[in-house]
Amino acid sequence: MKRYMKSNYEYTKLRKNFGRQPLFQEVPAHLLDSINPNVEQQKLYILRNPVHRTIQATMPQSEHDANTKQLVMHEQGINHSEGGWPRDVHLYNEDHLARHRRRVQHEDGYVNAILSLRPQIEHCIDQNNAIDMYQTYFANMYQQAPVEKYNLQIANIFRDPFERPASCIVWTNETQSRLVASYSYQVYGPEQDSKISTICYMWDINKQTEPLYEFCPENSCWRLTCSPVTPEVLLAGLNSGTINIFDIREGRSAVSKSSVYNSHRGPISGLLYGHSRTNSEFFSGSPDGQCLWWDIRNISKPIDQLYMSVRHGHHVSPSFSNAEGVSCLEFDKGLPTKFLSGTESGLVINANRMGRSHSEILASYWYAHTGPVRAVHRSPCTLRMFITCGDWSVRIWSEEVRTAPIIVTRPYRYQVTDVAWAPLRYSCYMAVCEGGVFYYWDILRKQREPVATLQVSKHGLTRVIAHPEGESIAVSDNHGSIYILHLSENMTTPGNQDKHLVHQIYDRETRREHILDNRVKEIRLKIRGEDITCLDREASIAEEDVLKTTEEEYFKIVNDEINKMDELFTKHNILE
Amino acid sequence: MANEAEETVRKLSAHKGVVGVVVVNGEGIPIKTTLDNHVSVQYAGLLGSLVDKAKSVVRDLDPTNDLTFLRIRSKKSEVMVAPDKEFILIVVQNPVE
Repeated sequence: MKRYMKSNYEYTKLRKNFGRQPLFQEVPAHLLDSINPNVEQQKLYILRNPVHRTIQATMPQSEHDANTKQLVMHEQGINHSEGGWPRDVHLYNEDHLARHRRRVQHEDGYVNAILSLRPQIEHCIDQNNAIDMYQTYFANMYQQAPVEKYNLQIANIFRDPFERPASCIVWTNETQSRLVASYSYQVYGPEQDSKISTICYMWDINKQTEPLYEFCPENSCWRLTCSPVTPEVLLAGLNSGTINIFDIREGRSAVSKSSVYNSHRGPISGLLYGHSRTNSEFFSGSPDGQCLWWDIRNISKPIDQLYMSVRHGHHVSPSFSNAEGVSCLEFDKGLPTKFLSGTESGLVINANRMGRSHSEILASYWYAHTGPVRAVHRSPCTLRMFITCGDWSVRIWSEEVRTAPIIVTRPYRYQVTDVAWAPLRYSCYMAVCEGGVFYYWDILRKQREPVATLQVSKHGLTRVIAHPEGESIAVSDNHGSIYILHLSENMTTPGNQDKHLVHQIYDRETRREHILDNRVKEIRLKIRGEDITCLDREASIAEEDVLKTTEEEYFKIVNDEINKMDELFTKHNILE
Repeated sequence: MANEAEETVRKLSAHKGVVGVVVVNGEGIPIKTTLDNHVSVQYAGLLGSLVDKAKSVVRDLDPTNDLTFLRIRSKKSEVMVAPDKEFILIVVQNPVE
């Protein structure tokens, strides 16, 4: 390659000629040089066609990257076997170590430290020597049974718009039970104001604003009962002593009514279904003293009648004059031919329908309460045990023991108006009283006081009835409100041993009463025996003595009284 | 005074069940010990840091509080540590029961 020719023109000039301005002369044009194209050289070149050239119109940029120096990290453990010695002490020189140690031991700090730490550490050493603190305690103890918590809650309230006291509540016999309630002012006397409504309601327990159905008996209804087969059929025992049959499907008024002449002479105080193959027989009781049996298919007249008289003499036949008024009835399907009735005079009569004579029918009776027996119920656990309530107390009786109740509890503050057994839990019963309080008793757990109480209402409570499954209890009060109470789980289901234990209680108490009874009889016999022998010997003498002493006493008392009267008389005169 | 300290340590180690007593200073060296050297050194080193940690735990939870005593119960023995401002007193005991 030929060297690139410099396009310079070098010339020398004398120094003295510097600075002189260039003087230009005008010269005509004249050829200085002429270079002819060299054909040989031309052949060495060709025309480049096409020409590819890329151009980009950008700012010139450049890139450069740099990085810090990488730090290499490495984990390593060190085993510090011994150290902490001051610099002048060498580890391997035992003398040095010992000397250092001795020096430290002589320091004040060291001595004080040891002396002050000593008591505490001695305490702990002694502690360890004394007992084994770290053992697992109570490893061998059995787990305690959970404490039963009783819970009573008012779930729902159904109010009567007329605020009449509820006379009877029943659950219907179906899976989705409904509550039927009747209201009446239970006062004896002439027929009440017709302005007081006699409407009875059937409530759906989930809907408390208004009743499901209403039905209207002609008088106020005292007792209700539901048919076991058809839950829509209801029987009502009225104030006038008649029975009305209602069918909810038909309407508000009674489907059939019994005649006033054939029915009871007083309001109906007990109405229950009896035992029959066709489930059509029921019986009723009333304070007039008779029990009547009816057939539901035709209630124009009763099928059977019984005077409830037990305390008549031997030669007197039972009739209205000596009959005891019935205040409540009880019937259990387990004993199909027997029933219990509580009377107005406070007796409980055990009746057997299959008796041949009157005395066999009304087999036995108990003096239960002072005042009418408000409720009688047999226990679902043992049919031979029944509970009664009346006046201010609740008593549990055994059929085998005539003289006294087998279980008594303290008298209540208010009159007890109704009592009911818990349907599934054998050892429990519920009582309601005039003070508006609901008591739940469990005779196995607490004998002296109820296991749970609840002040349900301000007014007195009239009836209590438990749903057959035991969880809901319907309680009614004097102002027409019906409360549904919910019980907690442990109040509805029985414990494992409950039935057995309740049987044991029953047996034990019955035996106790028998023993007491026998003992009393023995004592009485002995006394009578002694008396007879005494009287034989000193009969006449004793009699005269007794007569004389009583005469003297009598005259003394009389004289005292006369003197007192004289004094008063004179005082009275003086005052006047 | 030093004798009293000696006496104390001797009495402590004479208690029933006590295996050994070690007194450790702030730098982690066993000043006085009734066990042999390498065991004491192990105890000193390991428990020193544990006491510091325990102390910091107690004081972190409540700054007005302070660690008074530390007891470590293991299957075979119990180690009781009493910390002080400069020293740590360690006692190893076998429960007699």
